[in-house]
Amino acid sequence: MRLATFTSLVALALLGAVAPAPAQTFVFGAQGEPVQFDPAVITDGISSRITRQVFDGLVKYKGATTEVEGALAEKWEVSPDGRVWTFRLRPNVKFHDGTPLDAAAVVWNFERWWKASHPQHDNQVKAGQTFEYWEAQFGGFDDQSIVSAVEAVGSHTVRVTLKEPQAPFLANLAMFVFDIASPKAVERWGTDFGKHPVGTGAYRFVEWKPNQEVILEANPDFWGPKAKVKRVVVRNIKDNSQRLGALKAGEIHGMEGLNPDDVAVVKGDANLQLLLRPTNTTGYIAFNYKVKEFQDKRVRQAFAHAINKRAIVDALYGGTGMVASQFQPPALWGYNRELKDFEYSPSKAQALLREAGRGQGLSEITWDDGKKEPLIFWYMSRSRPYFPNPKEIAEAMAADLAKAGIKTQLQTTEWAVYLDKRKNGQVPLYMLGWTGDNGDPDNFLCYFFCQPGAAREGFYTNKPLADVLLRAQKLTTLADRAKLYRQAEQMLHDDVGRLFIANNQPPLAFAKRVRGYVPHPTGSEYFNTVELQ
Amino acid sequence: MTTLEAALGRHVVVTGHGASPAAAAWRRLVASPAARAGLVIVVAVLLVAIVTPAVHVYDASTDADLTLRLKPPTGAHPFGTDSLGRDILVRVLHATRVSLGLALSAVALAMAIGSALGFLAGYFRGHVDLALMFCMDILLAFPATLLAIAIVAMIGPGLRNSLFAISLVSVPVYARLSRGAALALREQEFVLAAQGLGCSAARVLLSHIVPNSLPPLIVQTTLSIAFAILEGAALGFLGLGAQPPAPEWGAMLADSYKFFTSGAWWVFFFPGAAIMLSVLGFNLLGDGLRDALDPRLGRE
Repeated sequence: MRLATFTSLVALALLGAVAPAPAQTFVFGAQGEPVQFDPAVITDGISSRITRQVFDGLVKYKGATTEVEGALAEKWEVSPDGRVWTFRLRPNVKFHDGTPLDAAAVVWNFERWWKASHPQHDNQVKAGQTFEYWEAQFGGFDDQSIVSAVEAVGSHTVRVTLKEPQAPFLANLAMFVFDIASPKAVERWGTDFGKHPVGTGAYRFVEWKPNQEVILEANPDFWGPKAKVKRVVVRNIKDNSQRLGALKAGEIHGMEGLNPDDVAVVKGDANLQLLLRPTNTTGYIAFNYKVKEFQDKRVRQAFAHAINKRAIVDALYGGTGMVASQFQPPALWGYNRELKDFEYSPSKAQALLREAGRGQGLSEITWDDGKKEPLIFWYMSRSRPYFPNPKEIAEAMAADLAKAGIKTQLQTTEWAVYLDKRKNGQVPLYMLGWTGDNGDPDNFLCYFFCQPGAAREGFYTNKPLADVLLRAQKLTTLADRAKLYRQAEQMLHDDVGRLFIANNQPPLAFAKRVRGYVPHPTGSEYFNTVELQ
Repeated sequence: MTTLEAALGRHVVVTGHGASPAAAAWRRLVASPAARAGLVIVVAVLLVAIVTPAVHVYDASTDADLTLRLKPPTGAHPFGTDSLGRDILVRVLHATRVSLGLALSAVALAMAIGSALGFLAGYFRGHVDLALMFCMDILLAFPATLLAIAIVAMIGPGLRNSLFAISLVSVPVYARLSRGAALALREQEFVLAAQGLGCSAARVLLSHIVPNSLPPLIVQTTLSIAFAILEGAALGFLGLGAQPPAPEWGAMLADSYKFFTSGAWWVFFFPGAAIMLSVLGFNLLGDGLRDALDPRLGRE
């Protein structure tokens, strides 16, 4: 009797202690493990989901668009020649470690990204981490960079001078990689800063339990709209089906990485809701131009006619995909609406192969150095936004190709190895894709085609195309630039440089009680607008 | 002398009721219902593996019809269709040959290598024994599946490489088993007699020791086939075995288990059932054989 009373008292006490707390934790299911949380050196979406909450950039994308609005910079002006940008910082903003966000801190961050000799740049590179995006967006480091000076011209004013105008400059700065870190914290932790991130964001970092979850808590001093949910947990659940199971069971409130066939499941579940990211992603097949057969345009055209993209998109994208005719997704302002895609026609494909002297079909390839091997078609082992189920899509495409007389052997490998092989130009025929970072056509086209003959692009060489793209980068009027990007798409199409397969609107699934999650085309979303009802 | 040897050689084999030992074992085998069931399943699976390719031509590389995607079982497609619109019955049947062929060849290879090493080690003892068994112990120290995965990861995925990996991880069992048998037999009088009569080591091994160690090896082989089917399916499931679009039970499971959440049960049920059934068959048969070939049972 006494024991029973005691137990119930304990139970009551426990209930009393636990009851008020739990309501305000938002749990999100992620597809994998983050790499680290130093925004300047990461490139992957799983890590940047966390850094977006912890850090802010000078500017950010507005709502669900890629229009740029102020963040840490309240306002800015640009000189008439487009070379000098002056940013006025928001006053009274503090990093999570209490140090002030001022012009000096911003300049310090720029120098860290830009100057190879900066101690906090140098040590990262020595530890094997590179400032990849800075290099890609701003032309390189030190003297190679398009940036020629970054100065503090007052306690809260920063001036950035460029060697020549760069049209997508602001859009670039809004990317997650150029979020501002606390100089004090970076200096304290060095290369370990990625495990102890300190920024100005709506959430501050609490804990990273490897292979389990990352915990964040609301920053009460945030300069913008304060987080509605006090605590965020991002849980790593690798398997798509298992993650959906966790969502259905109420263990998590939201998730990305839905199997295409589960889109209908989510739609049909009264407790769940489906959100789509605006389309900003394109999946493609790339040729390696060191393969002699692929140097023949008719062979490439045969591939283009052989693949039934419509059937693949209809069957394998769960209703969220679209057939792609060019690299840019239709929502981008450089999209070429006049471009006429290759029609699906196995007979045309066969005719083209015959014309190219390969009437007996194609199953073996010859590398530039004379080495012969079976034609291997590489597909990625991991679901990507543009190819949600790469193996199925690869098998469907390989069957289409086989029906036209092109016999491929499908092969895959671990994702990091896959990217490495592609970077070194070792794969003859492969699937890959791109998700836009900043809403500028430059980010789609120039990254791939501005350096003719690059190994990572399968040694594809199209000098006129590169010239058009580089010209478009320097113009400042949108209409003029759009014209050039449309022209570039047509050139790429006429040369069959790549085979563009599909665009997708990556689906996200949430419990019905989640409100205010705004899917963003770049795939990184802010959690401070999220509410639980 | 041959007659003498033959007589000596038969000395340890127990004959029951005047019938030949094989016939006696067979009678004991079919007397057990479980073993009978195993035998029926194994014969059926073997028949499927042999007959299917002969009566039906299947080209996996062009087999895909997205308009028929994920259709539940009907008259036209008794097992339904998979996510690329391929007939699952056709693929499960054709996969039988792949899975079984893989398992049988892996086990045959493992038995040949393993027992050869074991007999040598057991018969000659000394340094040979020490060195060989040391290697076998190292192999045994790793969990078999993990070791197979590691091997395939090293030499690259594919059917042939997974065959090699599966047989390598099965070698130590045979080596241990045949070494044990050789150790026991080498001190037997009939072996000593054969040696005394001047038989060469090869002859003693091949004519006396090997035939008399067969029963445990046969039992182990049957059980190993079940293990090899599972192992092959595991490697296929992990994408390390048969490469797409070739049909293989494990790979088919890997492609289809994600449909668990969307309710298309037939895509994973049938390949899974095929694995279960064939493993069950070989295990039942193996258990039955063990009982049937056990000399202690025979003496009663």
